[in-house]
Amino acid sequence: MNDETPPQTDGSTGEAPLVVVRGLTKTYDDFTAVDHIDLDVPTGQVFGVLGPNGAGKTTTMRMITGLIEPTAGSISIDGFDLQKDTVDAKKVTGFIPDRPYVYDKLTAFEYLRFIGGLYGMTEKRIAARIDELLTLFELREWSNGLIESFSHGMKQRLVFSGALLPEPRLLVIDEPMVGLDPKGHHLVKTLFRSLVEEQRMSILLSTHTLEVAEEVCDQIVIINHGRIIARGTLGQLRLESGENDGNLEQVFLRITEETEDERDQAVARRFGNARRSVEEEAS
Amino acid sequence: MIRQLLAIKLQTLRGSLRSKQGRLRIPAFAVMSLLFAFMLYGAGEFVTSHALQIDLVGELLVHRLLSITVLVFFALLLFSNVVTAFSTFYLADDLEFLMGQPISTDQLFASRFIESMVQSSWILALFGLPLFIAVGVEMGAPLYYYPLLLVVLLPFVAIPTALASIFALLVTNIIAANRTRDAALFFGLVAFTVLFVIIRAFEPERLLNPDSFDSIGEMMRLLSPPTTAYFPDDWVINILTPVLFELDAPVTWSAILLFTTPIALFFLATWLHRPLYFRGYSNAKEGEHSGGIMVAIRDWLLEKTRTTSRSVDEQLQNLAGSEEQASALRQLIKKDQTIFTRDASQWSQLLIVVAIIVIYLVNFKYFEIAAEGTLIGDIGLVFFNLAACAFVVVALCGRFLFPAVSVEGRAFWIILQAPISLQRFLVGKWLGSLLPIVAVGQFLIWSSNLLVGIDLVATSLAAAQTLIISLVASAMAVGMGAMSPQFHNPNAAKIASSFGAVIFMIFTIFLTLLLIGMWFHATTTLAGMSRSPATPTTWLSALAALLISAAAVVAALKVGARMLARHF
Repeated sequence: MNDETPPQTDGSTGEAPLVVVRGLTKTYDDFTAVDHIDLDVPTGQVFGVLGPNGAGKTTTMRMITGLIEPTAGSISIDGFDLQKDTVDAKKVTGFIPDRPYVYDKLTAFEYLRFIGGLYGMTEKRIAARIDELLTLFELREWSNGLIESFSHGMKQRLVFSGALLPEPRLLVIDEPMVGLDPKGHHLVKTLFRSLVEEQRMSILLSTHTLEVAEEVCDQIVIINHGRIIARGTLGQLRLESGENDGNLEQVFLRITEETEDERDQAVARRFGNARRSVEEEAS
Repeated sequence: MIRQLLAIKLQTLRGSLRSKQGRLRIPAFAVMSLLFAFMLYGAGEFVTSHALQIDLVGELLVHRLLSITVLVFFALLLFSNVVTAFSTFYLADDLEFLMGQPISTDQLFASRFIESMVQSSWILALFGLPLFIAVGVEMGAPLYYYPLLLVVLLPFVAIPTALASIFALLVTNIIAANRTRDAALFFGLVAFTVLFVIIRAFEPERLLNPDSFDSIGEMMRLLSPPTTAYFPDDWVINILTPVLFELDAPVTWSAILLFTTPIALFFLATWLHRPLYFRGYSNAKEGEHSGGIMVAIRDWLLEKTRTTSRSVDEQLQNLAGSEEQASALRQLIKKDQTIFTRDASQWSQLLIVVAIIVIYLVNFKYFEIAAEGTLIGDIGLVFFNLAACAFVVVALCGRFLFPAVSVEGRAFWIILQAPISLQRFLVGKWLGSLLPIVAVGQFLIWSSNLLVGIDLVATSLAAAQTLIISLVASAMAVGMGAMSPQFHNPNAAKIASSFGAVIFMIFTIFLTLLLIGMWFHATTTLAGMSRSPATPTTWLSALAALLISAAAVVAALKVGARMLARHF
C-alpha cells in the first residue's frame, strides 16, 4: 500500500474508519523503527496489534496518540489530521500506556478531575464520570489517598479511569493487562466488548497476551521488523497461515516464523547504514 | 569492576551525544560556556591588573582576593557535592539494578565517588579555572604554574566529595532520612549561612569607599579571608602563591596535607561505607513510609490542600453543582501548585527565599551606609539595587521554574497525550509561577528602595522594570527548562544546578543587564536624576528594550514547546 491508499469503509456498516494511518514511518538516525505502515481502525471494533518484541508496536501506538512525532506519513483520527489539528484529534483519543506513571502527589479524585479539566469537560459531567469510574474500577474508597501509596495494579485501574473519563471515541492501549489481577483481567475484557458494542468506541490495543487478543479483537494486524506482515480477522489469519484449526498463538508463531536469511535481510534493511558501517568497521 | 561501572556512565554520555538532541545541544552549550569562561577570564584580568596598580599593597591585594575566591569555591564545592552525593549514592535510578548485582560495596563506592566528583567539580572548571589562569597571566607566572593548577585542584575537589559522601552516609543512617534529599536542604541552609558569615565578615561594600579605612593596614585586615590552616583552601593558596609571585618554594607541609587528606578521607569513607551504606540506602528507599518532621508537615499540608476533606460523595456533589466548563489552563496551574505544596523537597526550599530576602535587605542597608555620598551616589544606588533585585529574581526562577517541566517526570505522557498544545502547557507553567516571583521581586525592590530613602518616582520606575524582568526571567526559565528536560531526574534541586540551568542563569543575567542598560537614560530622565537631556534615542532605546522583553517571552515559550515536542 502507499500514501494514496483510500480509507477502507467497514463492509458491514459502510462507516468510514475512525483511524486512518498512511505510510507511517519512524526512524531514529539509521534505524527504522516503523516502516511505512498503513492502518484503518474501523469504528466500533477492537483492533489488535500483535508482534514480537521490538517489532515497532509501541512506537506505532505512541505515534497514533501523539506522544512521538512520526518521521513520515499521516495519521487521521475521526477526520482530524493529528499533525495539523492536533488538539481536535487528541480530544477524541484516550491512551493507556503499559506503565502507569501518574502524578504521585495527587489524590485519585484530583487526578481524575485534572484529566476532565484537560479535556474541557463541564464540571457536572466530570463529577458524573468520576462517580461511575470510581465504582467501576473499585477505587472509591481510595479516592482521597495519594497515588504514591497505590499498588501497581491500582495505578493501572486509575489510568484506565482517566483514559475513559472524557468518553473518547478512540481508546489506545499498550499492554492492557500488565499489573492487573485476574479480576482486573476479567473486568477489562468485559469492558472492552461493552465499550465497543454499546458505545461504538474503537479500541486499538497492542498486546503479547494472545489469549486476550483472541477473546476480544475483531481484527488483528501482525507487525514484524517495523512492517505489517499480516492482517485480518482471526479466521482470515488462520487461512493465511495454514493453521486452520489453530489458536491465535499457533497462527502468530507460524506467521512470524522466518529463516535466518530472512531475518538477516530484515535486520539489515531496518538498521540501514548503521549496520553497514558496523560491518565496514569490522572488516 | 570500578572501570566497568564508570565505563557504563561514559557510554551513556556518548550515547546522549550521539542522539539528535545531544548533537544540537552540546555545541550550543559548549559555545555558551566558552563565551562565559572568556568573560570570566577578562574579569579576572581586569581586577588583577587594577589591583596591581595600587602601590605597595597591589600584590598582597591579589593574594587576598585569590584566597577569598578559593574559599568561596570550597564552600560551593561542599554544597554541590552534598546535593550530588544524595543523588548518586542513594537516589539514582540505576542503584536498584546495581544493588542486585554481585558488586562489592567498595567497588560501588569508588565508582560513585568518582562520578560524584566529576559531576560536582565542573563548577570549578567553568568558573574557577578562567579566573586562576587570568591571575597567572597578569602576574606573569612561570609556565609550570598552569599544570600545577590542575595538579593542585584535583585533590582540592576530591576533599569535598569525600566529606559529602561521609555526610550523606551519616544522614541516611542517623536521621533515618525520610525524604533523604530534604537533608540537603538543611545542609544547604548551613552552607548558605556560612557563606553569608564569610561575606559579612569581609564587608565587601567598604571597598567601594576606600575613605572608610583608617589605614592600608586596616584594609588589608578586612581582606583577610576567615580561613585557617586546617582548611584545604589555605593549603591550595600556600602552594600556588609562592609560584605565582615567584617567591619561595611551595609550602611543603600544605602540599603534604593537600595530597594526603583526600586519600585519607577516601579510605575513611570507604571503610565507613562497608557497614553503613546498605542501611542508609535502605532507609532512603523506605523514606516514604518513615516518620519525621518533614512527613508530619507534609501530611498536615495534605490535609489542608486536599480538594476537600469531605467524603468523596460530598466532593462529587459539590462538583456536580456546577455547569461550568473546566479550564485546562486553570487545572494545570492548580495541579502544579498542589504538587508543589505536597513535595517537601520543593517547598521547604522556600526557606531559602526568606533567607535571601532578609540577607538582601540587611546587606543593602550596609551598602547604603558605605556608599553614602561617595563613589556611586543615588543613581548608582538605584541601579545597583535594580540589578541586584533582578539577579535574585533570575536566581529564584532558576531554582523553582527551570525544573518546572522536568518535574512532570514520567507522568509527562499525560500532557503529551492530552488535547492541549505544548505551548499552552508552558504558558500554564509560566502563569502559575508568576505571582510568587513577581511578589518577591516587588517586595524586594519596594522595601529596599524605601529603606534607603529613594524617592517614589525612581522606586516606581525600578518596580516597573523589576516587573518586566520578572515576566521575562520566569518565561525564560520555563522555556529553557523545556529545551533540555530531565524527566528521569527525580531531584529538582539537582536539575536547578545542572548545566542547562547554569546556561539559563548566564544568558538571562546578560539579557537583564542589557535591558537595564537600555532603560538607563529614560529612567534617570523620568526620575529627574539625569545630567544630560533626553534625546529620541533615549525613548527609542527604552521602547526597544520593551520589545526585546516581549520577544524574549514569546520566543522562550515557543522554542521551548517546539524543542519539547522533538524530545520524543
